[in-house]
Amino acid sequence: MGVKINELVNDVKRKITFENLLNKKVAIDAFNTIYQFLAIIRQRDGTPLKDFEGNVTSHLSGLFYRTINFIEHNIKPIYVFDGKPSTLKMETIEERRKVKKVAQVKMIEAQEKGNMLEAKKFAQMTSKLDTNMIEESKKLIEYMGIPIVQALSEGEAQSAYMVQQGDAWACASQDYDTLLFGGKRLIRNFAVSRSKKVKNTSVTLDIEYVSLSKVLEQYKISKEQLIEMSILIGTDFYPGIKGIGQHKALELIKKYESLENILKSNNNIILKNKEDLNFDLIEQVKRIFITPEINKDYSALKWERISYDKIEELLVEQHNFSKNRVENALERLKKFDNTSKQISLDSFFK
Amino acid sequence: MTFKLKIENSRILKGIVETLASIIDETEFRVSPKEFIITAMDPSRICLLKLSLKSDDFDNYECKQDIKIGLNLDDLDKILKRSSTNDSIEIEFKENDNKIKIIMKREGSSRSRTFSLALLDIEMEEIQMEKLLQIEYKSKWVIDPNFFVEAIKDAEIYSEILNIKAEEKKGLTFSSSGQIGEMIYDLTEEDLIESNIKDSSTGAYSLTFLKAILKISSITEKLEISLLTDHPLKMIFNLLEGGELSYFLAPRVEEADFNDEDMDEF
Repeated sequence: MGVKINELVNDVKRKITFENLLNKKVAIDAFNTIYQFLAIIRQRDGTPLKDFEGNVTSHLSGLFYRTINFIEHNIKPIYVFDGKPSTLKMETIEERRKVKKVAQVKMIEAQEKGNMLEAKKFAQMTSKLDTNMIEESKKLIEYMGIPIVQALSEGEAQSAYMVQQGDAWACASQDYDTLLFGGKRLIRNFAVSRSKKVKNTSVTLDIEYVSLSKVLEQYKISKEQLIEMSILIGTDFYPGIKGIGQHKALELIKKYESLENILKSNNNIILKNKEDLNFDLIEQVKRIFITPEINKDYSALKWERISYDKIEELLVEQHNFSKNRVENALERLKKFDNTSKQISLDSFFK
Repeated sequence: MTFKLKIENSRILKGIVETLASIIDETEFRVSPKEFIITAMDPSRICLLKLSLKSDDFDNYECKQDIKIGLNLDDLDKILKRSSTNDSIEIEFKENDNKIKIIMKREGSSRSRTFSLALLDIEMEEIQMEKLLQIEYKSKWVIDPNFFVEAIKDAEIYSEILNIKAEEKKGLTFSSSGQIGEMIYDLTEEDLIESNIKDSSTGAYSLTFLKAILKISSITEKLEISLLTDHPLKMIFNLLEGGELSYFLAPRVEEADFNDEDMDEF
């Protein structure tokens, strides 16, 4: 989910294409991406792709084709996996679990009634990621020669750190939390522009680029103020304050300058929620964003040669992917499998 | 601020615009009393094209000041594709008009077709071509454009990369290799129209971008290529009815030799 600041970011975000990202290293929020695949890659009635044994394979299909696309465009992905979630996130996780349970029941009802559209809608909300799926995803990524970084806790915090260190150029995630963790550059919808059915009308999803410094500049706020606003709005770690959305949060932070002042103020909304405010918790949440747990020990990132045989074994032999389709895709990949690297003319203009 | 240009044979313009459109969506056209210039760099900044047609290269050329207009190349390409080879093409721009007009006529017929195309407001960066023009290439040769097209198409079977090697006294080798095998295309100095090859230079270049120029070769009278190891490939196409297209293509280099960590914002 992440913090909801989409409308504030709207004025700052830029449309980009894969071409703008030549040779750039992009730290991808792996869980976020895999969940998307699990939600999107489904059959008409909402059933995910499965192998003969009934194991879900939507995530492998998504990762495989998406990663090929990156390689074809000379982009260097790094998949960053979440570690142990913060205890503060437990409530959010529990909440999501409940939603999934309800959706599961509704999906089966809809399937029984033959209402495929309904069934698919609820099915998309039931996606679960188990350890086996995570391990298989990591295997596939490794076989494709792409580096993996294991975060201690939040993957987005890890990606943000890697960008700060210059080990990656940008973070890719659908959530804006990366910005709160200090990720300087965020890429959303990181896939080739494609059509997505939104309320049954087809729209094109552009790749979006958000620069943290431009967001801060636009609203003349500090990163800390942005974090404080997010606590008011609500994050995965704290539900926020009832009645405060992104615009209200901005208004309050501009007026009172800090969260501390806001919480002490006589503002109507604050007064109304006074009893629910947990100052300790708010302080803890702030710390998660300002000093998150980071794995600083990740080794030098290396993009290795692709292991064609292993990919085929994993996808075709173990998970019953179409041999033909996988081979064709690998064939495409082979054309780009080269130790040389395409550079831009920029180095010759200097 | 107006201009009016006429070219008797649509073929050249069609070929140029089709090539440009395969590389970039929109760009700026610069029309001055002396010449007509289009410069375009693809979004990944791998290749740079510059077309210059002198006023004499047109059958009619009226322009009193420097004018810059932005156009969508895909749309222009679609319009020009509606012309037949023997059609004449007139491009007209009137001051304060937010569009250009493209008029197609055929010799011996009074029929005329007029297309208008909206101008775009685009911000073009000034491309510093001087640095590229200052590169001192070790090898330079003039080649039959058909040979080069052949080599590109041969190479495509194997990979995404065309290797070029020029060796003093030996000549040129185009090659490409992949999982299934390799191809080698040898040319001695005698096979070249002109050649000035010193020492030995090699380079690897993306076929995706080289393919973009296939269309141009059919309207090219003379193709001059310059090569220097790990530098952009420089190609100058002298077009059939006058005019020149320069094309620079950034090389592929060995991963270990190069580190262009560009951490800039866009």
